[in-house]
Amino acid sequence: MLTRRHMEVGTGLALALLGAVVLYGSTENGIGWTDVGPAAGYFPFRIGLLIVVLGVAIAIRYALAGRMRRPADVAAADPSHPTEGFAAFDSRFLEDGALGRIASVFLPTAVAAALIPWLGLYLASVLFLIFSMMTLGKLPLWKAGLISVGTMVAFYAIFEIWFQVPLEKGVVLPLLGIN
Amino acid sequence: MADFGMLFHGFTVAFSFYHVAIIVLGVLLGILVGVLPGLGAPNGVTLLLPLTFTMDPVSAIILLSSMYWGALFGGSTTSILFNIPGEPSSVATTFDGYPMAKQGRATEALATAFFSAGLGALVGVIVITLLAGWIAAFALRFSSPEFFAIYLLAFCSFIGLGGADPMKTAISLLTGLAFATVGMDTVSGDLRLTFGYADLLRGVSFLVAVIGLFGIGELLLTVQEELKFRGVSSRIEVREIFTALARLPRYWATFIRSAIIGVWMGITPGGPTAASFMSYGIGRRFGRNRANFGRGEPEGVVAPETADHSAGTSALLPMLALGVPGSATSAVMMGGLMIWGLQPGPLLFTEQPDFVWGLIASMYMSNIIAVILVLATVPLFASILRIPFAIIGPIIIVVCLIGAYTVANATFDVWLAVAFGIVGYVFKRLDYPIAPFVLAMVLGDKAEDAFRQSMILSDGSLSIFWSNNLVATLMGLAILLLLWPLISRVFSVWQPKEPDSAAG
Repeated sequence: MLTRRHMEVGTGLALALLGAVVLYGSTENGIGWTDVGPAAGYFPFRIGLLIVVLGVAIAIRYALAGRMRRPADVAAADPSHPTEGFAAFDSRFLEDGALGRIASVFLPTAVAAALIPWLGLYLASVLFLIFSMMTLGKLPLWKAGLISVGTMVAFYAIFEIWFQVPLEKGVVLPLLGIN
Repeated sequence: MADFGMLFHGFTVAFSFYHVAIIVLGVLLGILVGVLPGLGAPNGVTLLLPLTFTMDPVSAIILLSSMYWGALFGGSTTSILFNIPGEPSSVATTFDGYPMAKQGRATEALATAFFSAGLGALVGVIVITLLAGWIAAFALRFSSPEFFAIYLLAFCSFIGLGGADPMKTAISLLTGLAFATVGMDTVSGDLRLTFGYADLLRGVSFLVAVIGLFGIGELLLTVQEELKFRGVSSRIEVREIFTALARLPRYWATFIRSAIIGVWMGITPGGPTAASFMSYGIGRRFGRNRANFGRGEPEGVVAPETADHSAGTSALLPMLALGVPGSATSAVMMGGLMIWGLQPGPLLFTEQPDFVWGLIASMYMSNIIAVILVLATVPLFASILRIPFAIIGPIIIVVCLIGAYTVANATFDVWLAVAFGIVGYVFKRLDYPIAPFVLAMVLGDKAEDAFRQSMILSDGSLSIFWSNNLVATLMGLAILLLLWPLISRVFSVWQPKEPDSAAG
């Protein structure tokens, strides 16, 4: 079971890892002093060091914290989750079905983003919209299709014609004669 | 008080048919993003920013700032009618606004909220008018060490006063600074932290990060919580508006207190969210009608709304005068300034008076226009919220994807925004504040440059940060704020912690 504590520790360690990547990357630029002042890696190295230290410290603190946080603290710290403050650290991070709901939005989004180089923004978005409206809202195909295509035609008008900002067309749209 | 002459000049810049039209457009777009879940002021402004690259800077900043005011107003609408804060800074408005609406006093609640918000905003603008030029003139004496100290002060006040876990705030800030260094180093021309990926040469744009963290992340949060709209009647009765207006002077004490809190939290980077919570909390403790707080008390709407808007507007003061934004949204706007080729900071006042005073003058106009527009459009925007989430949610995601693409016409940025969406979701669930991350990404390069120039001046000795009274005072204040959580714990003078400024 994934608890809030797992997430806290995992996030702390992930941030520390990121800090380590920054440390490693900055050594390639030199972290010391050059003839013209601090080397390019001077500043990032120190930032990375601090991130590693803080990330590890956060992970350790949440791994060890056996007590409940005071409800007032959590409620005050994040107004959007007033109820979470009453749950212990070892409560579940995701309630039943929450992961599924998130995935039902996130996965199609990721797939649509991945398809942009081939389908272009407009086509990928139309497919994403139709799929999402049908799966999330149980809309019939004709209705989802109508709304989706209408929306993207409106965006096409706004970006390509009004603001003259061309969006990615991918490989497919130019074949259909839309540039 | 030569500033009033400058303000008058500003009005001659801002008062044109074109600019009024831009204000109306900006306010309406702002109300829209304020009303929609998952879209808020920071990423609304971010999404619009790429479209302003070709505009004249004065018109562009008027458009973006009007959108900011509109978003602040829109957030209150949903708080009152649907008990759903459209903006984090309007959470406190739900405490009394929604009960009022449930009692059939929706119009009174909305009118009270909008009028006190408008007045709060005016206080903020007046403070800017009076102080901005003076602070900028003072800041002209700053050189690199002082600037670094100012940036450090801004960072430290987030850690010390932000209200969230100081360690999480600090790491959020530092991560933002690390992301800011990616790409070509402006001083040496070296490539940093790109690890050979060509897509990283441009660096990681803070705009992409904002779209992911605030937009997609917020939406994932909405989905996880299975948001259900339970709206009350959104009919507006014109007579009620005037009744509410007539009753407003009764709350003058609350109003003044809230405005002071708001202005203070706006100038120091506490942000509107912290300001509205603090003001509500203080109102509940000291207000005349405190017993009725939480049960539909107009005073409980006046307090957070006034503070929210006076903080929102006065957050532009440090951005303009010092180049240090006071909230996430003003950080985005400051990034916009740099993209338009303007250098935020004291020199802006002498080099671009049209821009600065045009903006300040437009703030008077746009807040008045916003109060009228938001009242007139309540039924329209309330009906938008009745559209099923299955339709509006995916469209918001598409807007975010397009927005990420338009930043640099790069598909890689879209992927980056999606990745930042996950980060934003996790950060929000675990109470990591996001505003410091954005602030650090915007200020990172400038802070680093100031640091490196100081080091060059002193030949690598940190003692330069104590070399004169001014810089030593600033550094001392910064360190005091950094250690404030520890100090306050030792003395426990500060009772329950202030709410965070995660997205203010």
